[in-house]
Amino acid sequence: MLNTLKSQLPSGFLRFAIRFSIALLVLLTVYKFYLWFTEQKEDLDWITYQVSYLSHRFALALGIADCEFSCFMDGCRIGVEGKMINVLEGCNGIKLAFVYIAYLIGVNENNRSTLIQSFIGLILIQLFNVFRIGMLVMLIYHGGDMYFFFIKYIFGVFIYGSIIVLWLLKPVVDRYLNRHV
Amino acid sequence: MSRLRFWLSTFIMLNIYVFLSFIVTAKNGYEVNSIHSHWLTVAMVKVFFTYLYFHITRRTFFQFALAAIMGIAVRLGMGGSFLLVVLACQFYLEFYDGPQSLR
Repeated sequence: MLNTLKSQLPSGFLRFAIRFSIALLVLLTVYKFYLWFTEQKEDLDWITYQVSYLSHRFALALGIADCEFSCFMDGCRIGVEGKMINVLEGCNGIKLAFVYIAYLIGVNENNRSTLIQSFIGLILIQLFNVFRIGMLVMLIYHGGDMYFFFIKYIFGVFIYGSIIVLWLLKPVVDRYLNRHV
Repeated sequence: MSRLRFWLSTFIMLNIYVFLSFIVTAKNGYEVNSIHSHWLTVAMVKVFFTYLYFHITRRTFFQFALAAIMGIAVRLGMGGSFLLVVLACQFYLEFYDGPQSLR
């Protein structure tokens, strides 16, 4: 049944577009359900909490000794008193990671390789995001006027660039996984 | 030459897109997204830049239209990133669709 359906799919870009869209739709729908579930429990979602927590630890490691950390239902606040940043659900970078995974599924050469790369990519994108938020905490702490420029421009390019690098590494990782796993 | 064209236009597109978001927020504040006319203008400018991006990298109009529709659907339907969907389409077309495919 599945093979028949697969053979009905058009080739090339249209095939990619269909696979990509379905994968992204499924991932985002599952995530929406998860958010709805945590909202019902009047709780903050686990991903935003972990990203905020790790960003706080990173900020501490950068030398901001009096960095505070508090979470509420809609997000977390990190930084020193009077210079705190809000980390909301939209800042956790998970939707960007889903686009990365949907691309892998859209291209899909090897399911096992896709699964491994999705998992590693998800973690790496979250680490890039933790680095980004930690750096923002440091920037606002030092009180520079560049904070706004960094949050809207430099780190935007940085997070998109990191995903592009992961996409570029895909053929290399595929070859490695096919040879060794 | 075509690869250089692709990379240059990707670099410019990425920077223009993010810079546009920066300028709009810097000029109008975070509340700008709630003003529908502003939002629509910015969205149309981004779609126009996407058209230029696909035109410069010599894609077909169908490819542009499909990528733009996917991007808009993800943005409006699920709050995802329009630019990243467009980039995903471009990277597939550049690296997996055609004679220089990495497969």
